[in-house]
Amino acid sequence: MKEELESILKEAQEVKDNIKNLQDLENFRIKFLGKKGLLKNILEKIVNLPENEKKELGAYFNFVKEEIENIYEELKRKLESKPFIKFDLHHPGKKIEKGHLHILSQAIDRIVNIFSKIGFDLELGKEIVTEYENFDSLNMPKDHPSRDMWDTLWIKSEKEKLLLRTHTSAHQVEILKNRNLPLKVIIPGKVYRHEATDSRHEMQFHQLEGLAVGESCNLQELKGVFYIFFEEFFGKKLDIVFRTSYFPFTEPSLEVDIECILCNGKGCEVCKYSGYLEIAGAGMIHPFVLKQALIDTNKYYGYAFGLGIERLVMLKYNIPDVRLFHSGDLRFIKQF
Amino acid sequence: MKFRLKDLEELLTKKPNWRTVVNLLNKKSFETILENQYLEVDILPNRFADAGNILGLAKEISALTGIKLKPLKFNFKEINKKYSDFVKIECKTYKCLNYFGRVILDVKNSPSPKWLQEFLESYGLNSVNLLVDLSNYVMIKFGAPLHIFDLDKIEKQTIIIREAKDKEIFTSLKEIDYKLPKGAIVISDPKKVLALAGIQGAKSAEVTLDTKNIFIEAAIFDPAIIYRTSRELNLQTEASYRFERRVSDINTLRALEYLAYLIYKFAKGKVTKKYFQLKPLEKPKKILLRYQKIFDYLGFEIDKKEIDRILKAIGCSLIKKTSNYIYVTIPLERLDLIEEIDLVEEVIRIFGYDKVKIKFPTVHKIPSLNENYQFVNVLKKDLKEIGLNEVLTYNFIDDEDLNNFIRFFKEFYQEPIEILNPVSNLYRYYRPFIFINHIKVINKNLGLYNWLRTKNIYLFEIGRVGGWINKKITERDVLCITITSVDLDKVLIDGKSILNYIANSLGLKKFHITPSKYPKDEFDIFGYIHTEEENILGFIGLINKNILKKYNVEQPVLIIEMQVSNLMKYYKEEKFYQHIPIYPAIFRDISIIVPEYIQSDIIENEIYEVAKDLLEDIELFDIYQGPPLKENEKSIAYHLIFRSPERTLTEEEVNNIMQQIIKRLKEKFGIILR
Repeated sequence: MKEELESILKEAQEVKDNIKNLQDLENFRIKFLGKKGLLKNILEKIVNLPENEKKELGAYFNFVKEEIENIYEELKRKLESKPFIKFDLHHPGKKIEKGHLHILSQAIDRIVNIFSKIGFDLELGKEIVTEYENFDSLNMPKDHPSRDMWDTLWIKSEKEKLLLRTHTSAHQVEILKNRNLPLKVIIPGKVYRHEATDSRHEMQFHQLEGLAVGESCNLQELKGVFYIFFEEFFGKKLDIVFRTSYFPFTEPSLEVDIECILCNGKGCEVCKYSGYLEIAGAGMIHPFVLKQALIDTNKYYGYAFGLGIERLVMLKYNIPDVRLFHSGDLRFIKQF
Repeated sequence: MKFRLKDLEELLTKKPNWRTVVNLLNKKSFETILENQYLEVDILPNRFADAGNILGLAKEISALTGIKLKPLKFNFKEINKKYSDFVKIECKTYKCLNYFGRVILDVKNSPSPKWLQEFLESYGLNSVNLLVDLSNYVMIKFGAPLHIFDLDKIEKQTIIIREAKDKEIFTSLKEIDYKLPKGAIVISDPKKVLALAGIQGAKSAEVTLDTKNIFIEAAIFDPAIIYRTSRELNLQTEASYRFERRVSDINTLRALEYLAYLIYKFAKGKVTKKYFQLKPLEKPKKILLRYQKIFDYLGFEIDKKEIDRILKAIGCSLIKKTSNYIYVTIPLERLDLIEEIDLVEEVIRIFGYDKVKIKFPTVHKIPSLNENYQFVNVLKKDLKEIGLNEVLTYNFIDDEDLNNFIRFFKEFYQEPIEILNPVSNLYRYYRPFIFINHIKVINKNLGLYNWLRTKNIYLFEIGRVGGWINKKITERDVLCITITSVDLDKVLIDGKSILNYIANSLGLKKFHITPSKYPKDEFDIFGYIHTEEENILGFIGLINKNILKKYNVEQPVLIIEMQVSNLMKYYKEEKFYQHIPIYPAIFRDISIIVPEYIQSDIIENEIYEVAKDLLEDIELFDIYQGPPLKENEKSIAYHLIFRSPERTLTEEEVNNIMQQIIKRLKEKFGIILR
C-alpha cells in the first residue's frame, strides 16, 4: 500500500503543472482530497490494518496528504490572486461638471441668513406697484423733484398709474399695516430704473430693504445692525460711518459708509482714496410713513435701510462690471 | 453745486480751514469735494431753498464751525417817484405764491466788468450784459431767480400773471416756439407773453444794451407747476431748477433789494420808491421740540445745553424753554423745517452721528420662515445638484420676441405689460415667460468666442413673469429650465429625466404630460405638464426650428416652464421614515412594439393596474422608432421591479403577472412582444 501512496503522490506532482484554472483545481481536489477521493479511499483500507502496520503506514499517509494539500493550497493561491492591472495614476481623470447657483442667489441667501440671526423676518413683494406704494405713501408727493432720485419705468395702463418698483421701500406701508409690532423685516427683490447702463449702472438690480419698528428702535441699534451685518458678510470688523442724507421717507436720513474692504481704510482706487465706501441708504422711518399705517408715532420708532445687493457682491468678489450679473454668460456663472 | 472759496470767504469773519470744513460738511450736511479753490457740494433736495446759494452755504459753514457771518451791508437812494406810476401788476392765478417788483429808470446797460464776467464763468453761466449778469449774480448769491423786463416793451405798462391759454405760444430767448401745456403760468402784458413764469423770459421784453427803463420781477411760483411745465416742454433752466426745489420769500425779497442796489451802483439806475408786493411775507414758523424725542431717536441722552446751542447755531431763536422742551422760531429761509422731527434731525446731525455708539439689536422673536422663499431655495439647490446652471436674465422682451410667440402668449394672458418709457426698444415689454430670454442666452453662449467645447447647455432660472388678465396685472414666479445640445434625443430624454427628478424631489411619483390639442407654430413638440389630478403645472416644448433661426440658434432647444406656486402645493418639507424592504425583489424586462400615438404614461398606468401593489417600480429605458419597425410604430422597453412588502415573491407568481400584463397590453393596445 505504501507503493499505492507513492504513486498517488507522484501523480499529484505530475498533474500539478496541467492545472490552469480554478475548475481544474477543483477537479484535482475532488480526485485527491475529496470525500470519495483517492486518499480517502486508501485511508479506509489503512484503518482496517493491524495496529503495528497501521502506525507505520498512517505516518506515511499523513505525509502524502500534507504534500498534496500543500500543492492544492499553493495552486489555489496562485490562481485566485488578482490579475495584473495596468493603470497610469497620472491619468487626468474626467472632468465632472457641477451645477452653479447664480452668485446673486448665493449672496441673497447668505444675507437673508445673517439678518435672520438678528431677528429679521423675510417678505417678498410684487414687482409692479402703484404710484401710491412707490411714492405717495413714502412722503413723495407728485411733481416733486425728490422723485427724480428714482428714474421710473412706468407701465402703460388705463386706470391707476402703475410702475416697476424703483425700490423695495415700496412695500413699507403695506408691511407696517399687515404686521404686529414690534416688527423686523427684510425684503429682498428686483428693482427697476430708467437708467442708461454702464459698468456701474443697471436698469434692473437687486435691493434689500430692511424695516424695523418697535419701542427700542433708535440710531444706536441701526448702527449695530449694520455693524453685525457687514462683519458677517465681509468676514471682518469694519468701521461704520453715518453721514447726513435726505430721503423723503426717513428722518434723520443717512448715508452709510463702511471702511474700504480692499485697502482697510488706507485709501485706494476703489474708495477713491477716501478709505470709505458708500454702501447703503438708511434712516429713522419718517412719522409720515408710520402714520400711513396708523402707528402711534409717540410710542413707536422705526428704522429702515436699503442695500444694493449687486454692489455688495461686486465689492466682495472683486467683480468689475454690474452688467455681468444679467448677461447669462456661463463663463461668469460657473466661477461661483 | 460749485462754490468759489473766495465768495464764501468774503461772507465769513475769519478764513476757515477748508479741509476741516469739507470734513464737517461731508459728515453733517452735504457730500463735498474740495478742488482748486472750489467746493463741489451736493446740496440735498430738501435744503436747496436755504443752502443752494452762496449766502446759505456760508450760513451752514458758520453753524458747523462757529465762525461768524459778516452782516451784508448795502443801501441805495430812491428817487421821488413811485413804482406804481410806471407799472400796473395784476395777478390772476393762485399758482403765483408771491410777487415782488421794482421799477428802475434810466439805467445804463453795458457789457459787464471783468469781476462779474469771471464770477459768472466760475458758476457756469455766460455773460450777456450788465443787467442780466447782475440778476444772475444775485440768483447765485441768494438762490432766488429774478427776472428783468424792458419796461418800454411792455404794452400799457401792465403786467398780468395768469395761466396760459389753450395752445398759447411762448417764444423763448433763443427764439424757439413752445406750445404751452395746460396749467403753465405766464407773465404777459395785455397783448403778448413776456415770460414763461419761473422758467425763462420771452424775446418780446428782453433786456438789451439799449434798454433804458426796467421792471425787476422777484416772484415765487408753485414748484409743482414749474416742475411739470419744464418737464413737459423739456426746458430746464437755472431758474426752473431752483423754483422746483422751492425758493423762500425772504430770500426773494432780499435778492430784489440787493439787485436794486447793484443796478443803482453799477448801471446808475434811478430806483423808484417802494416795491410791489402781492402778499405779506410768510410768518416765521414756531416749533416745540421735546428733548426726550432726541434722546429716543439717538438711544441715549445728551446735554440739553448742547441742544440749545445747536438750535441757536442754525439760526433758531428761543421763545420758551422748560426742562422738558424748547420752543423756537425757525429762520424764514429754512423751508425744510416744518415739524418737530425736522429739528430732531438738525440737532442730531450737527451733534454728530459719529457719537452714536453700536448697540446689539433687540431680538423679539425667532424669525419665521418664508415658505415661498424656502421652497424656491430647495428647488434651486435640487437643480444645481444635477448640474444645471442658474442664470438671471432681464425681465423684459422686445416686439420681435412678443411677435414670435404671440399666439402662445394669448393662451396665458390677454395683453402684454408694456413699458411707457422703456430704456430701449429691446426692453419694451415685461416678460410673459422666461424661456424667450434663455434662447438669447443660448445664442450668446454658443457664440462667445467658441468657448464651449461641447454644445450642451443646461440652464434654469426662477423669476417673475406677467401680463394683463381681465384688466389686472398678473405676476407669477416661474421656474424655467432650458436644455440644448446638438443631439436631439439627448435633449428630449434629458428634459424628461429632469422633469422626473423634480417630481421625485417634490415627493410626487411623476408628472403627467398631455400633448397640446392644437398645433403650435412656436413649438415642434409641446405638452402641458400636470399632476395626476389634472392640475396644470406648466409646459414643456421643443422650440420650433424656424423661430430658433431668428435667434441664430441652430441646435434643438427644449424648454420647461412651471409655476412655482403650483409646484409648492405638492412640496412636503416633512419627511417620514418608510420601511426598508426586507423581502427580495424580482426583476423583469419587457420590450414591446406599439402604435406610435400611444403614450408611455398610459402603458405604464395599465401595467400598474395589472400588477397592483406588487410592482414596486417601472422604468422606461428605451424608446426606438425606425427600421425595421413600420413607420407608425415604436418600440418601448421597461425595467419592472416586483416586490411584496409581506413575503418573498416566487418566480412563478411573477411570471404569472407578466403574462397577465402582456395579455392586457395586447388587448388594449395591440402590442407585439419584441
